[in-house]
Amino acid sequence: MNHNHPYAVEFESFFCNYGQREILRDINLQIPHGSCVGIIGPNGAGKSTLIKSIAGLVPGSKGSLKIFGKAPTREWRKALQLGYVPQLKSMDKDFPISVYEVVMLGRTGPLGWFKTPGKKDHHLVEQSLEKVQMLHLKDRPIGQLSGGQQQRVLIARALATKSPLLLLDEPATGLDIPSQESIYRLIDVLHGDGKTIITATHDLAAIEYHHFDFIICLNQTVIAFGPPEEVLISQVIEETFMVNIEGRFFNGTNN
Amino acid sequence: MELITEPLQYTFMQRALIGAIAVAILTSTIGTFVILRRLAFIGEGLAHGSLAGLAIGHLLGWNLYIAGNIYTIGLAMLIGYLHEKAKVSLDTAIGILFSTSMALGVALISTSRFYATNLNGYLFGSVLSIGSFDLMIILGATITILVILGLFYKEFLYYAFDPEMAEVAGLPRTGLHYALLAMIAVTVVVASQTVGIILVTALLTIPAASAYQWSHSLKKLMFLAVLFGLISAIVGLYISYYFNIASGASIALTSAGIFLISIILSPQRVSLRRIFGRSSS
Repeated sequence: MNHNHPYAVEFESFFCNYGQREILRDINLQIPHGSCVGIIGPNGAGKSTLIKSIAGLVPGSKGSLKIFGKAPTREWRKALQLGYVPQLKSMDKDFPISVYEVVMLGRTGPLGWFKTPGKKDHHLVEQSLEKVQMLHLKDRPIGQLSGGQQQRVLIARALATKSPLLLLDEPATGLDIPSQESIYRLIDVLHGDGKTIITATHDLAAIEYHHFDFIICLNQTVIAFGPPEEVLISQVIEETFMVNIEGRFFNGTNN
Repeated sequence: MELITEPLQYTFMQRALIGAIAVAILTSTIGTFVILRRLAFIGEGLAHGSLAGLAIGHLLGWNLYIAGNIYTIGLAMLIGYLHEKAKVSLDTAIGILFSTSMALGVALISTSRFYATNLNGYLFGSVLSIGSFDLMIILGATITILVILGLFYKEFLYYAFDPEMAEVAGLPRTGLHYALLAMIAVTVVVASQTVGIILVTALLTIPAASAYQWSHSLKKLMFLAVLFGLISAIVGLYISYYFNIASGASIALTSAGIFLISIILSPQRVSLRRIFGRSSS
């Protein structure tokens, strides 16, 4: 496995359709390995689709995508074991499964067929739970946790894969403010460990209190990509979110 | 004691008991995945749709349960395919194919000289008349499916909890989906021998749904589901013997009794949404 490639993710003229509808248009991006990247954009901008296409869940219709320098074939994804953290609302909260078991699922891919978890896997699961400060709740059923705690467990599951690349889809959405802040603090810690982190959020406030190396302003296509100080200017934000900065919509009525 | 041993002096009761126990273990285990993936409707659809397979088997002079198995696996694949490729919701795909298949079954039966007792056997089960070859099929299918589930436990668990995440981890999501459908199909046909195609859903959903009231982990859920299934099968069979009630019905009613006790006594929330909810896969 080669994680020394300078770019974790590279898009080149990448398009993505859902049926007849174009979701992503002419995406060109090079995300350096080890960077912490925020994808911002309004609802329906294609943030989730961008994350899912990196995760291999949504195929592109045109153009190319490379993960650590290679096209994301099933074999390559199997070798990489990307740490994908889906939106919390998609998780089955009634499923009879403990916190520990959820995180152990992260070892399924790396283990491969016919193998049962060994000492190393249990150690990794405990380590991942420790990292997200959830080890003390490891025997709880997942459904009995708060939203913030569930999100931490999903992050721990992604960590248990030992992936160098973490993809987080709206990790703070639906959480209360302290939980949101603690999730972003956790992201900082993980970034400090040298992982590449790509986080989608529709919450502009998040990028104010959290440091990203790069911001992708997305609205079906990349409006801007660069360090926050270059990208976060009112003109770009207005274009991305299709609002003016005073918060009024560009609907022509201006009332 | 005599109450328990007396029926067992008859070979047909011995076979019935072994068959019912095997079927209970099989349906309860697969049933766990059925309720977790919210596939109860597909179980019912396959059971009803299998009528055509049994009718074809009858017309061709094949062993009914071998013909039924092959046909119903095909039906399950077709439902999965229609759902995936034609972008029809799974409910709709099941609705279309099971009713079509059942209509085909009824049409075939109406053209042939099916004896009413035969038809009754398929619809309501005939555990008391299981032959030794049928018993071998039941045992063979039960062991095969339990081995498959044991070998791929962690993969099926991952798929059942979060198919999307499982796919990212490199697991063959579609393959696991179809494998589960095929196992449900075989289970349904095999189980229809004891409780009949109309009541198969009872064994597929009720023991697992009762166990769901008591457990927070999948292993415990499976263990309890099998336990409840076994109690239903054994108690149901004895009730059937002593009170002269149709065996399929008494097994289904016993399991319903366990479910009722479970929702009254269990400390957990009753998530009827999962039990009666339609598939979301």
